[in-house]
Amino acid sequence: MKKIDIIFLVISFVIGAISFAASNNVFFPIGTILVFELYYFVIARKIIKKYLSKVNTIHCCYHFINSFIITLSVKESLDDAYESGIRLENKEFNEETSNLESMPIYDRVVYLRKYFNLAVYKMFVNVLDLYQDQGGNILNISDALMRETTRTEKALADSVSTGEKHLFEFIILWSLTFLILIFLRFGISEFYMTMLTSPLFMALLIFFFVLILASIHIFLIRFSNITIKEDSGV
Amino acid sequence: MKRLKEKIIKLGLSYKKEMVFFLLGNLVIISLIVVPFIFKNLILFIPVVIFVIMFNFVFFYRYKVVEAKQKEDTLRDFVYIFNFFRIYIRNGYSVYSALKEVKSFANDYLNEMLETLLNEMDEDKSITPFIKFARKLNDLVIEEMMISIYQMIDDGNNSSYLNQFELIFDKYSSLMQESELRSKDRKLAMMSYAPLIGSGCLIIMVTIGVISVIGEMINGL
Repeated sequence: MKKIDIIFLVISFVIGAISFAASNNVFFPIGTILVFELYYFVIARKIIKKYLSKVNTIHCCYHFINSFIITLSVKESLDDAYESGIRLENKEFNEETSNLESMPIYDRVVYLRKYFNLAVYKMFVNVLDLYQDQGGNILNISDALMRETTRTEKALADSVSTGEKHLFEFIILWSLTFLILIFLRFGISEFYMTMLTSPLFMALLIFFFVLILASIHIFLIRFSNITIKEDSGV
Repeated sequence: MKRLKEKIIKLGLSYKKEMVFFLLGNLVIISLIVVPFIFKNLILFIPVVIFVIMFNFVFFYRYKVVEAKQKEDTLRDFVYIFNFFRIYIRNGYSVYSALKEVKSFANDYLNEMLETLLNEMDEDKSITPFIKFARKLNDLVIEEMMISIYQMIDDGNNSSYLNQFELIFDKYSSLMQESELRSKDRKLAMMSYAPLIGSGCLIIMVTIGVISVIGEMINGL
């Protein structure tokens, strides 16, 4: 079980506990936890996994391209450039590259197109082809490409930090809303219990928890939206 | 009706599926018309009418959203593609061969546009194909970029025209990047309303509770 799974498990249990306190009913928290867990394992987990993998791939890709080009310009050797490009502490990327050891260097670089699946990497391979065909200074040939990788890396970093800032806000605001609910439950306990007998009150309570789930889902979709062009495969 | 059909097809949606969804949706909502008769309360007609209006509004408004999203995607793709175009030009490709090369990076819509541009360039050596290409994207800056690309052909990749193109392109690209970031920021900031709606919901719950308790007390008296 990964860290993120445990975090969501804790979140759903906390929300379950709050729902128990708010409803004073054993079935309500069971339903809440089940729905939240089901949502996480069926939908949210895939979105988070895809997002993390994309961010990771983009970082690896830009590190690889930059290191490769700079080393190639200094040592003028594809082997050294490739070794420098893959020198990155990233488990997934290291596993991928260790499987390619039997292949010639150029084929490995081309093969990584499948792994990165980014248009900028495809362009990098095209630039490398151009360098091999025409020769010249790799730094001049790939100048615009390197500027593009830097620009995109910066855009990604900005996007991630914006997302994190709003995630913090989102958590704080929902925590305050839960505090209001807990205050209502325990601050005006007797009156709250009387209100619980009203079906309309129960309906609104259910709506409240549905709203939490819906807002988490929409937030996740917006948070994980990264617009980096993928390799069209041609 | 013909215009609607053309619009749906242009957006890459299936006209048949859309019409089935539209009719079924309306049918389901209109079937709610029996509710007022069951409860013998004609006021219940009002929510049914509101539902019908809302469904139809959302159904047709959706096309505008899809259209805007497609335009945004195409412009973003344009920036990517022409960034690569710049790389090819910097590496000595002619405008024609650079455009041909970047075609493989484009999405279907832009690919088709580039194909048309290349075909028209074969037949018409004037600036017209470039202007036509830019007009399809409906953006003045893109028109400026296409003019500078045309000037590159005319002057054999003259570096001053390349610089002119790069200057306009870099500005446009930064603007797009900023606007994308702003859009994400705005969308995520809007999510702060969800906990506020939750708090509002709690206030309504308490209000309803207070009113019902007062009501019971009055009735009890």
